[in-house]
Amino acid sequence: MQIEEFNILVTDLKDKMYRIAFRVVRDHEEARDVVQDSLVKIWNKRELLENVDNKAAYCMTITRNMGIDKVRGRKMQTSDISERYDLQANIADPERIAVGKDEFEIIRAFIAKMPDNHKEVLELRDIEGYSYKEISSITGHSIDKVKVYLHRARMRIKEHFKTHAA
Amino acid sequence: MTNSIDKIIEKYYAGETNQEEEKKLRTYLFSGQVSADHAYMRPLFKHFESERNMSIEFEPDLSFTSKRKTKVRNIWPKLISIAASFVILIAVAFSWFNNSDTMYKQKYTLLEDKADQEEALAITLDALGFLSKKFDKGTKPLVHIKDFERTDISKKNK
Repeated sequence: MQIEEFNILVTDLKDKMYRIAFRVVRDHEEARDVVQDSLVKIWNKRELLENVDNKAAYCMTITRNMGIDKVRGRKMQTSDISERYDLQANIADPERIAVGKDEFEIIRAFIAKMPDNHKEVLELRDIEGYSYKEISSITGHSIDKVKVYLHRARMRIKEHFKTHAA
Repeated sequence: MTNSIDKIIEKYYAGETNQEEEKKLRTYLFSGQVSADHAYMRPLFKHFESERNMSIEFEPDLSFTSKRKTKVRNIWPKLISIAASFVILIAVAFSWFNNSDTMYKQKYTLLEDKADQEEALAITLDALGFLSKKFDKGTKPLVHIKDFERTDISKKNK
């Protein structure tokens, strides 16, 4: 892979890579580091990239794995998420649902509290718009499993928000 | 319309929708004609949309892609200048040695002539004679040392 080709790839994917990294590490500074490290890794393995059919999925897989490594290194993920989104405060106060921005925060916090597999598949599909096959290759789950996780994640959201709306 | 949307929503929750159907669902939810039953989905899809369009002020540093190449480019001129310096040094040394050797050989060749040898001998004898003369002149004042040795001062020092 030549520099020019790599630059095009970076321009096309950097935002998506950043969003994926951010969703894993939940910190802007760390997300930047993850993307930067991922790009270095992708560049160093550029010979491998020649034989990859879906380069975008390959880059996302590397980014996701680097993000997971970062979180593992941090060793504070589980206690951290609810604090970062002030989850309890948002969900406990139904009046805040009426305000648009808060509504987003509540949804984000709710998704963040989901099991990792569900959350990841949901975000890759509904936010990033990847196909089931691409999600399967990024996460390493089978397509059937991807659909199951997606179903469960969406049902959780439905149950929660339909009840709240009612 | 509502019937087909209901089916799409059903498929959506089952995790079975394709991208085209999801696009239709999005268009429906963002239109102003969302039924009360589906209204709760609107903020959710708006959230997805806002996350997708999240503004990111991030430009990765791609200098690592040119590092190796620049290094090679920087090394070559240095290598060439070092090699050139060596070539010049060797050439100067070679010509100097060659020159001095020729000069020596030329002198040596001159002395091979008998007349020159005699001339050289005469010059050498002249030089040695001159040196001997000067040496004699230098030793003459030392005769007075014996007078000095006979004095009291010299004896006292002994």
